[in-house]
Amino acid sequence: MSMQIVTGNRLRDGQAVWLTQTGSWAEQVSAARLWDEPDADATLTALATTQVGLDVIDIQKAPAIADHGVAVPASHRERIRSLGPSVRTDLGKQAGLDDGTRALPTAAHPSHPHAPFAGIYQYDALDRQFLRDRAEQFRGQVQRRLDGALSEDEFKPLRLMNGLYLQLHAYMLRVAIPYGVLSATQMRQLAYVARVYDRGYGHFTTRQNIQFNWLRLIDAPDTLAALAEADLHGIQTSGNCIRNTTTDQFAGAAADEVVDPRVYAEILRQWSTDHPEFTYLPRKFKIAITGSAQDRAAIRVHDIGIMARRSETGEVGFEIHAGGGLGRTPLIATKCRDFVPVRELLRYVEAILRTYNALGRRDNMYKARIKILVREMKPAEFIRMVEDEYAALPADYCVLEDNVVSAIAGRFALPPFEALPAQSETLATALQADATLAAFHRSNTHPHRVPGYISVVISLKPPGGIPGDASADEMDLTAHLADRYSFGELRVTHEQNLVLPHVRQDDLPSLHAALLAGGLAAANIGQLSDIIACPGLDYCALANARSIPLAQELGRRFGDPARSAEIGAVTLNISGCINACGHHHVGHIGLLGVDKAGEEFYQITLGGAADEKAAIGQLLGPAVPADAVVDTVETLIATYRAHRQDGERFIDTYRRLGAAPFKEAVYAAH
Amino acid sequence: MPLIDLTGRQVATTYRLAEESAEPTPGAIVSLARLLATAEPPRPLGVVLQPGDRLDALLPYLNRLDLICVAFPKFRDGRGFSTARALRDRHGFKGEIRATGHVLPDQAHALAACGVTTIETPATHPPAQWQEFLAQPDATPRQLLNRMMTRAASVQVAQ
Repeated sequence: MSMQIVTGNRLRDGQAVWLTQTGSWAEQVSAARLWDEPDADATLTALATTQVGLDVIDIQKAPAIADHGVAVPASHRERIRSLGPSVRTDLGKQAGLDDGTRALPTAAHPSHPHAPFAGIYQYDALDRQFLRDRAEQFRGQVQRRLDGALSEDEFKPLRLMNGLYLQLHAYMLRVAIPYGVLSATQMRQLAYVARVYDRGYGHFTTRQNIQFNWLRLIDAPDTLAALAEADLHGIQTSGNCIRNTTTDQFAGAAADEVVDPRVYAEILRQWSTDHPEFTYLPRKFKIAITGSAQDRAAIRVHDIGIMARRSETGEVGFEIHAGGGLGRTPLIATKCRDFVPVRELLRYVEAILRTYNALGRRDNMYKARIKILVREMKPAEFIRMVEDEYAALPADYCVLEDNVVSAIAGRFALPPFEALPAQSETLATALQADATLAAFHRSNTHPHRVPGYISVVISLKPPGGIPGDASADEMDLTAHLADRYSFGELRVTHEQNLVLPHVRQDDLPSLHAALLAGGLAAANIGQLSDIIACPGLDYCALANARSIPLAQELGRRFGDPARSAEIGAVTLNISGCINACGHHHVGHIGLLGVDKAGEEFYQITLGGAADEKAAIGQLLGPAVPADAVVDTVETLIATYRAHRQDGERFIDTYRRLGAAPFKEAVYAAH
Repeated sequence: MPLIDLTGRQVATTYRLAEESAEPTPGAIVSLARLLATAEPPRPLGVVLQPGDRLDALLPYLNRLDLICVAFPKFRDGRGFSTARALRDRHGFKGEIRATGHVLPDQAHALAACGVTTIETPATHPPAQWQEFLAQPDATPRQLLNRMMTRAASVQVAQ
């Protein structure tokens, strides 16, 4: 007969605990009491009305079996909760790591100046004071929660606004990296936080942020205080508010830009930070902006997507899209306006937000995003409402005058680029001599607007690695390389890689050698093994299936440089649930984890794209079991290679032929 | 329940919530539906706006109202912020805007910035909690944009 265990997470550190015979909470599932289902339900009801909520939160039941009277979790999820991540057996309960043993710093947190030309927005004293005050405010909120003055229901949105989630094994802290730009000093501070408050690593996300997986609630205020010393924070990285505005990772460096989108992303960040009206929206709200017609920021799958453009008279302004998104209802955004002048940008965006805040659904969280509102109202009516709201704004409200834009732009230091020839002789010679360097140069660099410079992508997808993960040592190495080769500046890409934006072409050979020595020289950007993957069921409380093990196995299978280069450009994105943090809908190949009677299965979509030809991938057929996924991808790739014409990428062949040959190849044998 | 202003100080009120069925008398707080059904609204008069109430219906009465209560059934439901802001900014309402229902001390600054003037404190968050919160440094961002723009969202609405 199906038995149940009762489990929750400890408030103070987020550790998974189970209810025992004596009514205490144990850290090991083997001590859990087994219940019949009705008894488990009655216990949950009783617990919900007692004060126990102060100590243990998120209490629920989970299926279990009795092995000689000892509880053994019956679900995948509960098994992972009771052990730790399956992809990091050195961590969690399986490794015997007890949070109580952590030694925390007694000295002050490190605080170093940023490199003078790192392309971050340079903070002033008021900006710094705000972050310190905010960390102290959160300290007060944590204390009120521990004292019981705030209920969990009330505290949760407040901690989410500071980036703190509860996941399977502990709290997770998501730190904002505004529009993906970091100074080397900030990267070192992230490494410091990883070592001191976490487990020595972090995970870079598709929103150009970083997540730490092993935070304790009691340490979160100190962690935020440490981050504040480097002008970093977790504000609005979660919760139903305006999230971190994302942009192109080559912003300000790419050769094809109308404007540097960092300036406008920063303006949007300042406008949206603690916006009094838009902090309790129906649901989260994501804005992306691109400065070029080549959309490298996936703006059409955002709540608001902004594309810089010039009018016929040469004036700079923005094309505005709204109502795009992924998740369980993937939709491409509706274009609201062809051209909004710079001075009106915030006013127009505010009108969209106000319409959404007033009319977005709050009765069903799965229908609460703006995309559902736009779809249900019909785009024309939605645009009419926005225009009406926009027209009624007071004339002097939130006007973005030229002097404001110049002042913000002035806070981004321009690196003192040297006058160099457009093509480096040194590099040309080295490329001739070194095939590995040549392959790296082909896949991991991007043209720079300044002659003699190049942008270099550092892949966080080594074959068999965990996409987006970086150890504290790797963070320190990249910081060192940024100081040495890129004016102390780094970028995080939405594909979960890092970028050194301003590298002298002459320096590429020595930079490449340093990356090789540090194990960070995978030459696979844009190739199959450059996989986007969410943390999945190894960490995430929402996931239905794991993402990372599949990414690792695919990385191993397709990571061979020669084979990978021969297959060419193809994006493969994996999400562990319908929330689509791994952007599976917009991968040329998308994998979505689903749970079928306790087993991990994966749906396959083909034809997705996030660029200026944005498209939602189409489901190929029935989901395949976990152990068949890699072979299925192999079949898809073989089909592409058999049909491709000269120079065609995977997506081109798919668009020309449609799904039929792929479907035939995958399912004919079954 | 105790009423406070946005410095946390307790303030007196003579308004009272009227029975839905009764004809409003001076000093009553009525629902929007009741207001619309009243031929000659007395003064002073207050009205409660629930999230989802249509503001357009209220507009003809605005200059005959002294108090508008903006109800927050759940502190997470942020429609009241936009309602208050629209009343002040778009429609120029000059009277008292009172936040009622489930609001947290942590929302005090945002409520003020949207034009709310008084708060009916919920039983679980008595005035002492608001005073304690408001005594801390207010973590309001004073970023360049907000300092330079003539009127920014986070700057208190003129009254």
